[in-house]
Amino acid sequence: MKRHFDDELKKLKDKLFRMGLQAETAVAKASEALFERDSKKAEEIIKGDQEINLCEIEIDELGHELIALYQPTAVDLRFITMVLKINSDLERVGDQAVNIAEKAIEINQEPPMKPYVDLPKCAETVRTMVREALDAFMKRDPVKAREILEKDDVIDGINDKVYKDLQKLMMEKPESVRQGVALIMVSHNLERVADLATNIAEDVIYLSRGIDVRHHIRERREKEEKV
Amino acid sequence: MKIKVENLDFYYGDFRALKEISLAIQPNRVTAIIGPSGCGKSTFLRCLNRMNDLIEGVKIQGRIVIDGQDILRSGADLIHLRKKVGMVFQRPNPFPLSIFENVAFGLKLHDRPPSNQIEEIIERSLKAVNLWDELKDLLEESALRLSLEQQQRLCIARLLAVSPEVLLMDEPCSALDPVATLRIEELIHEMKRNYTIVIVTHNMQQAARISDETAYFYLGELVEFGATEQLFTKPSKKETEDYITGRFG
Repeated sequence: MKRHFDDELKKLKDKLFRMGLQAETAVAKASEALFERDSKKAEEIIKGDQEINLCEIEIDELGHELIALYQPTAVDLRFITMVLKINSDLERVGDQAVNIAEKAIEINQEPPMKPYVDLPKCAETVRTMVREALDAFMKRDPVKAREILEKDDVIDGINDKVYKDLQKLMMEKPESVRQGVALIMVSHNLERVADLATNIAEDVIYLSRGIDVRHHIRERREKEEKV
Repeated sequence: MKIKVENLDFYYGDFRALKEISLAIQPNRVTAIIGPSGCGKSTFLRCLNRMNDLIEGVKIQGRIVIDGQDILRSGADLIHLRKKVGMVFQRPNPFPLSIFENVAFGLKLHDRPPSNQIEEIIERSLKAVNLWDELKDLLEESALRLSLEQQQRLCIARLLAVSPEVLLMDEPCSALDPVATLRIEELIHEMKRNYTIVIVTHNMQQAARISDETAYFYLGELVEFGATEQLFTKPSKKETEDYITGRFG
């Protein structure tokens, strides 16, 4: 039976997807601002963050209204609560994009200390993770969501490598410390975006299957039951 | 606005059941009336088509203006009023007649159209309540053989046949199971495109699901009236919040 509640749920879903695209674009453009040394682009990202923040407020309000008015249960309840969580994560993705943009403006004031090799790869992978997490959410695809969880380890690995390479470079060339530290922070920002994409993927699995895969809780519970 | 209620007072003998009620009901919206038992919800509803006139010893003061006409003025045409403002009750009450005759009953009383028009109107009315496909080949069967949900839909179709503008519903789903209730709620949602609906319900969650505006009554007074999403997320009165959160009532 068609429910008019389904139209409201679709509205909420579409709003979240649009916000997600904005956040994904913000991360991509902030990274470009760094790699292309385009501080103007970086400034646009910083200004544009307010729109993402307003979306977060709208989605929160709509989600709370739907809970109050429709008393959803089962999959509908999981859907709305996961939307509210993903909403918060996407807003933080936007904040991380702002952090990257601010660092880009700072770094662009000096000549580059070395060509960017690992960071662009990292940025592209992270951007893809956010997009794939959004796609998995739109299609309620737990299989696609699982694939994103596996990519998070790759990003952690790149982040470690970037840290070690920059550390070595800063020790060899002390004049590069300022830029080096800024780039370490950018790498950390990208790693945080990957974590947020992973959170979204975990929420998609919970939404689709009702199984909570956060913090390896299932394995821990199974272990406790065996003891 | 469709209905304007101004300073309405209602008495059962010496007992003041409604105290200075004022509110405006908008056209093509669903307005829900909620509140604990005995707060005056059904009394208020029955004022809107003067069904309370049938009770001995009642007194009413104030104004109820529907489409610019005060229905409480002396000389008001009550038959025309009750055709324009129809009512559905808690327990479905089909007549002990065929499905066809149930829907045709009001038509034959009021308008007396030619028989081919009656058939058209019956088909349209049954379609409006999503009963036509189920019952088109059973129109001569007794209405009492239908399920409770079907009977309630039939009662609504019976109203629609005489082209009302306002539908008053006094706990229309109380006698129905949850799935039947959901189907009636979806029907109400569809019908508001063409009718103004005022519904009394004990079920707050139902009020939240289906109404555009909600009025909270307590001990004969209107405590709060406003947009349903506002009332159920950020009510402006503590008494309203206590009621809808179950801390009271």
